[in-house]
Amino acid sequence: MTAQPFRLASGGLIDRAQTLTFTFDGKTYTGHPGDTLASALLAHGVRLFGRSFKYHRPRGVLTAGSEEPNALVTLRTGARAEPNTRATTIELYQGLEASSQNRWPSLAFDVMAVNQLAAPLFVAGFYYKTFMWPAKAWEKLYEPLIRRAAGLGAVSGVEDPDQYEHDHAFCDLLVVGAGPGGLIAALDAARAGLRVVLADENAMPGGRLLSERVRIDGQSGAHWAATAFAELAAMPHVRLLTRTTVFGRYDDGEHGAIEQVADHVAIPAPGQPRQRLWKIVATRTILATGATERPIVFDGNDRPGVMLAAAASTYCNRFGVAPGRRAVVLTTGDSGWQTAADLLAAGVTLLAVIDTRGTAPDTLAAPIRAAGVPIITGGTLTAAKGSPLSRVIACDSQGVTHTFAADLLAVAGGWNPQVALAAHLGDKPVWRDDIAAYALGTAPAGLTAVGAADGVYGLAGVLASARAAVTDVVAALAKPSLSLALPLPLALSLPVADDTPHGVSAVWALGPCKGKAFVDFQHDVTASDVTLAVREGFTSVEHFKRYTTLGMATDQGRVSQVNGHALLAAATGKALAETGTIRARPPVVPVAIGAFGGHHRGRHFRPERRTASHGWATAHDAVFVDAGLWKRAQWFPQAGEDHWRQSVNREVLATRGGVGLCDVSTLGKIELIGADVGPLLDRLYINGFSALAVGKARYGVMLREDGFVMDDGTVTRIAADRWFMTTTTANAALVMQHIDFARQVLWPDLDVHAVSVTEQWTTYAVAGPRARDLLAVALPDVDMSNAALPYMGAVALRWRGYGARLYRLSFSGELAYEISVPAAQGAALVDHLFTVGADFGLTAYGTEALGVMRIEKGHPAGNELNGWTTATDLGMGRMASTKKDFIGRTMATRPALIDPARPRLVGLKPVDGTSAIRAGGHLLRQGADPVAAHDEGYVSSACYSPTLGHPIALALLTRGADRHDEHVVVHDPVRGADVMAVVCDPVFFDPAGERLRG
Amino acid sequence: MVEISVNQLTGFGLGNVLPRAGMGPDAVGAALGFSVGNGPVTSAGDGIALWGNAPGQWLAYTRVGAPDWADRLGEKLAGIAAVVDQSSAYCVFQITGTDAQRLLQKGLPIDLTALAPGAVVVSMIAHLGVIVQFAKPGEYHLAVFRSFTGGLRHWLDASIPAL
Repeated sequence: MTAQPFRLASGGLIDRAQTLTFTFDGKTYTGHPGDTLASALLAHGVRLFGRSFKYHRPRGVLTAGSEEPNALVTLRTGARAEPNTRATTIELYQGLEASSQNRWPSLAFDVMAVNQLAAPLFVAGFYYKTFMWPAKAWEKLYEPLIRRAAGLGAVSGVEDPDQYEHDHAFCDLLVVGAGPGGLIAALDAARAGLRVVLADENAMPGGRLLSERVRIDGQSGAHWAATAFAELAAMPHVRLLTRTTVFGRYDDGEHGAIEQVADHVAIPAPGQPRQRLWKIVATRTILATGATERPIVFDGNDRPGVMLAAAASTYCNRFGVAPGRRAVVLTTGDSGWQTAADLLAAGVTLLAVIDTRGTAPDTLAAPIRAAGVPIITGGTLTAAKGSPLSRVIACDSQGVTHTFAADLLAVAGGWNPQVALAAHLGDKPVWRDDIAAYALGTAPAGLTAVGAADGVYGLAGVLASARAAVTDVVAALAKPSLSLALPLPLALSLPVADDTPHGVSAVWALGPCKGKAFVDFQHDVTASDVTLAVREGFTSVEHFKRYTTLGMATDQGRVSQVNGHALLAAATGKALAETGTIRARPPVVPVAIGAFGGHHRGRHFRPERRTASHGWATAHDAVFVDAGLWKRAQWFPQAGEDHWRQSVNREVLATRGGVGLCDVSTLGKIELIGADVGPLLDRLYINGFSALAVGKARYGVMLREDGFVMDDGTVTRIAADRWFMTTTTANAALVMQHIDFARQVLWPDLDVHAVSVTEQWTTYAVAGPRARDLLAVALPDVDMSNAALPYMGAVALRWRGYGARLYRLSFSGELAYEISVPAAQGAALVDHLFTVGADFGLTAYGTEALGVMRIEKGHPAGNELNGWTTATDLGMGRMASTKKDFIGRTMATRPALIDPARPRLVGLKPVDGTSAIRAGGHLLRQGADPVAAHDEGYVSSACYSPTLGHPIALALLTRGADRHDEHVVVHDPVRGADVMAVVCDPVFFDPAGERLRG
Repeated sequence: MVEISVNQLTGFGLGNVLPRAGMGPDAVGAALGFSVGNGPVTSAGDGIALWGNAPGQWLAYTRVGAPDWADRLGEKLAGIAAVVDQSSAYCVFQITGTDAQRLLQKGLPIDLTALAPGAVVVSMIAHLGVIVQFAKPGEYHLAVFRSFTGGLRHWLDASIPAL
């Protein structure tokens, strides 16, 4: 642990009564609550924070905020390690661990700094120009090399142990930024009764008031801000979001914001998220986001010790830290003079103030001059030398060179209003000569920029600007529909504040800029890169950005963008107004992917649907498979079964030989009610339904408008005006949508209601020769005779008092029933059936056995109902009625869809009786070369049939219906050798259907 | 101190009320004996409430529903509206406490402060379709399809400690 030699004796908004210890690169330091990692390290005299991306240049701290491009560190260790975190925004906490990045073996001695020697090669577009040939080297050599060299910092590689959550807020007015303008705006609006959300990225409200020695209403800026914040906090209709960055603005007043709930502590409290993603919907928005100071391009401007002037003031005034011992201030406007005064007040030896302007306001210069500080007006800067900074070489207006032995160079290059949020919906900022910056032109609807964000820099002007904006907001929202009382507090006098001088000039680069003069610090883009890009024709700001990568780092070019545009403008002979600026896109600051994911991670990545028998299946060791969002039991392994096919074979044979049960609740279920359901069904399906008798079910096929098969299922007529439809699991929502479209848009005159009842009913298929016997015991009140309940019949019943339905339907080809009860009774029913079923050897079977049995029966399913097949392709063309119209009828008669050469559904069996036929294999005539031109179809479904004792498959084969008994080659070059197969009828088992009617 | 209670209800009755052609809220109300509103609002009578969940349609809700509750309701509305039992289709959570609104606002992308008691909302929480009925200040009913109950539970379990 060491002392803090650069900590000022007093001052700063830190709690000196408490001392925190932390480590950086393994070395222990101390700081205080209120410090950032950057301020605490600066207090110890640490100047070197990291290495640059491309050249591995030593880098220090440039700023004191979220725009920091240099001082990027990895925060925390292990699973919580977070690379590329800005040291300037990390709130210090006890035990904080941080480490520098992009260096080896150490920050002070980085071998990769040798890259600087190759700098002439690493120019803009280096990769594009270099890695072009030989082409075969790209995959094996270039890409691995680039991937290895690219990136900054490293992710932990292990699962993030923290939580993230989402939240919503709604307000009349969103104020972004809790500086003086934002606080006045929020206060005025809240006092007027508007619902206000005030968001600020800092833990402490006040913005620049915390960094400047200004007074409002006779109080210090920080004290005034705290008082205003306390008043806001006491209002129930105001939500204050500190540590919250509004990162994006979207349609209809929606904003995205990220709240760093627990980033300022080592580990979040139990149950507490690390970060919270807000969606804030605001009727109006006030941007009080301030402005970001920009650097100046000159040789050596990236050396540790070169810092933005406003940041130097912040470290002095907010953190009580001297950012150096011997300083030079370089300024292009009035604000740098305030930093000079701050440094003097902090006891820093001020070696010189260099103002690039010919004159400076005497009110600013006089106190500096009186302190004996040399002032160079009309001067320029030649270079900064040393690492860390040790010499500043300047030139006065007479051309005389001055060298200063400085360890701090505070640079004030002007201010960029922070209006990126306003630009997210497409409004580009426009150039304003009066502030030498891009600012909002015509503000987008519902948004107003105030204060420095609108180019108003004096404190009194900021307050007046905010007041004016709120007056407009209150007037706009003062309408009868707003039930809030809106007194007019705006007659209240504004707080009294001095309007600080804020003159600016447009200066972008100084000196020769022949060495390393950086425009974009984070991406190591230099002035010479700008020149090169222009020379190579990248003269549009958007092309220029992408070619040089200027502004594409995590800081999004907040300190670099405008300087880059200015150099581009100079190189192309254009004015900045003509060059324009890039289109800002969200997010304004980096946002962790985890925050967008929220709770949706791991098995909660997407919603999961469970059937009523899920618990029963789990208890019986089911292996589950995803069917859309549903979890379905795939098979039920038993002791001694070490391969899934053993389980499936047993389940199939037990069902075909006795009785099996399968949960088929995931099928889509739709109840249709009304006088015109029959006519609607006639139009939805290719076959007729109007004449279906009550108590009867019918299989149906429906087409899409384009004539291809959309789905299949059964419809049962429950009552004269009530029908029950089933769909495939996959198409449940699609069919519901299709029906709603048909009845609401196509035929709104039909008297039909349709409502999904998929969730209401649990349905179990009970199949096998002993199904009737089992159900006769399980449902003793139901007449199970063939006469009372024939194949494709249905009856309503009561089970334990609840309405239930029993259908005589079969997908397996066996004597089979589907019994439905309300889902809340589903778990009880499966228990009951297996209790009763014990005497019948009832076996649970999963989707895999279900699939085997349907292939054995030649039933098309998802693999065949794939959107490319017609009813005729599937052997169901004759089902289509010629006496009625139905959706898809006309398009199904297109020549291509009735071409006899279309692939038709067939069965396949291996000629040798043993070789497995794989789904996906392509069909070729014997002797044909395996090329695409000879492709005659493909295997759609395949399995081993335990019933038949050999592999079987369904396939779609050109003219398939006419080619039974022909031998074809199943070509499967990826997974195995070719298999010779014989074409057959797709119904492998019980083609007469005797079992299901038995 | 967070004040919230989440109670997963059982034994309730829930069903679609779908008016026959030419019938509307007045006819439904006349049959049930209370005034029925048309819109996303609650209309309540003796032991039954209608939650407006679609234009001209309602979800009938009763706190305690016999197994044949929907059938009996269908008989009352014979010729006026069809009733489709959905008592098993949804899990219904009763969420009460001063922090109930704060909790639901985390998940719901609509402004809950804009709702009057009795309002009904068909929306999403954590990508799950939900129906929210604002029973009274500090009390909401939250209905979610039964198969998604685990997902909603997960959201509740994660969100409540973070209040």
